[in-house]
Amino acid sequence: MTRPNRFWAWLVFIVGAAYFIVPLVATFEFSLRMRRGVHSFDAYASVFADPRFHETFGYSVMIGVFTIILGIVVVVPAVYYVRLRLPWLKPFMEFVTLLPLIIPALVLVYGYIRLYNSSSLIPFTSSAIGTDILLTCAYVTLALPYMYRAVDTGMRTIDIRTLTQAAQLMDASTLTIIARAVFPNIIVAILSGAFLTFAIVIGEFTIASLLNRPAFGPYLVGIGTNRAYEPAALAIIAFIITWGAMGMIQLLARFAPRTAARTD
Amino acid sequence: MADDFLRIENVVKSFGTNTVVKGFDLSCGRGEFVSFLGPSGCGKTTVLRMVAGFERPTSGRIVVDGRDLTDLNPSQRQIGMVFQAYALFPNMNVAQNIAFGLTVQGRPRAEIDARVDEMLKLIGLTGLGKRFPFELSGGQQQRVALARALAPSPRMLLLDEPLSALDAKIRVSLREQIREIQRELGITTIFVTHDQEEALSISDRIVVMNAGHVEQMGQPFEIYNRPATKFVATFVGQLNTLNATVSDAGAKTVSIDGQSAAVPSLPASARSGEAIALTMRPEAVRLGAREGDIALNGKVVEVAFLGSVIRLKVDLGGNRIDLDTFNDRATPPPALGSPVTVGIAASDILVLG
Repeated sequence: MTRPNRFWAWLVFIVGAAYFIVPLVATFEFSLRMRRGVHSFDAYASVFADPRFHETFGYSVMIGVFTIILGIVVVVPAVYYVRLRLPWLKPFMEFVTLLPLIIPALVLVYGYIRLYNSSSLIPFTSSAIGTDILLTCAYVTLALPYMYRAVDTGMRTIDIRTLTQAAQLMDASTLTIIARAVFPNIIVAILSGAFLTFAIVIGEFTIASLLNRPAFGPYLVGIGTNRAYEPAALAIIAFIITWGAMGMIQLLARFAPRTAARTD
Repeated sequence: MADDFLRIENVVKSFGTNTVVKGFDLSCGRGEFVSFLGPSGCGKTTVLRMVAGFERPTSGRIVVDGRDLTDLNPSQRQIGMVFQAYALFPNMNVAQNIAFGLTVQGRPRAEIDARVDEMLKLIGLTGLGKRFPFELSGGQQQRVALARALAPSPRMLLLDEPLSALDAKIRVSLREQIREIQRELGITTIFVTHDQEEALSISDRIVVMNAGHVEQMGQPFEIYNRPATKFVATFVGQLNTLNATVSDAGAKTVSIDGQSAAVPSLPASARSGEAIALTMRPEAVRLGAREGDIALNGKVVEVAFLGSVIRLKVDLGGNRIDLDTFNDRATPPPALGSPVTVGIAASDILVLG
């Protein structure tokens, strides 16, 4: 048997990889040029020394955590009920959860501001905490396509209906079934959705900026307009955070509960 | 059985305009093992699911131990169930799976541990409590599912094709084990299957279902040997059908491929010259005819060696008949094409509607 010629496969791979890697390497290299004539991490030191970096990053992490919690509370029971009781609603769910990818964030945030401004019935924007709640809700919407699909895929890998019926016969309440029989079996899928959500929240600019919240995204843009090397360092830091989140998804996939459809 | 532990009374189930169970009645004694047997779509699983509480009957009642369960939720029925797809919780080990029902009920830890040990012993998996479902074979997983269903001491056990996903050999050993455990616990059990051999081998009684209604209900011996309808006769076991012509209705003689035979069980409504179908089981046909048998001549057209049994197909000159003979090391089966005489005891001929 002759080995297939893999030249073209490798060529396509190298071109594709170069398309992503070259700009990244160039950005990284540029971020090291702050000190004239030598490569140094001065730009990174400058970023880490900036109290605004800590404030905005801390704020975005906090909003990210709340977004993930709210997203799980909304999406997991919704997907569970649709799969179990209302399977005919699935195409509608697919459509609705795709809308955040179609509707620009700008349109979304203007809609929020019109609906929830200080003179509306629910004046979220009249206080900082209210605006934070609105921002969290906006991020849950923004991350919905990812969180919904992650959870839906997780539930597809286990026989939700039969597991639920088995638990029901043993007197388990719906809450017990979700908490003990469903949730632990889709935890990896949920965490995948959670890390994608986190990556979105950390880099998001439009909504945070228009709601005037001290998030990491607007900080990144602000730095980019009046500094030379720090934005490159921040871009690399943001990449590392995002890749870290993706790496965690890969790592956690190994711990997914395994199903066992054996016939022996 | 007299005490009617389970009573299913005229239960009907419709999904929209489609009625899948049409007036199902069953009385089942305490400790009885009843199998629902029928082809796919006959409504057997729907009846089981109505007993479990996963489906509500459109009309009719389900009573267990004198208590009407018809409108109760599954959790209120105290019924254990084993599913075809095992349905073990993948995130829990064997012991945690078995303990699930007891933990939900908030039983004391010591009681749960003791019950789990007892169940592991019952299913022959002592020492495997720490294993996860994916580390077990299919047969072991199904035994754990059985233990999980039995651990909270349910009033009844429902088995929804629990052996269907298993290999043939495991199926046989597991069904024997299920029956043994059921006898030991004396728990009333309903077993749904489409496998006639399974139903015949382990049931006290069999309910043969077809198109949403009961075709026949009875003990395995009765179902097999005295099928009430043609459907039961053909669905349960193999059946030979011989096309014949009534030659003399008064003398109860028929002509089969030009050979004359007396059939005492010929119905009184038969008319001379009328075409009729005579049916019989393969084991009711033998090589060589005894006195009183219907003797027919033919030639062997197929020999299938099945181990302990040899199945021959004999052409009678148009009609073909299957017959089973026990494998005898000293007597080789007849060769293909060899002429043979087959004998059928007239009493074994089934005249079905």
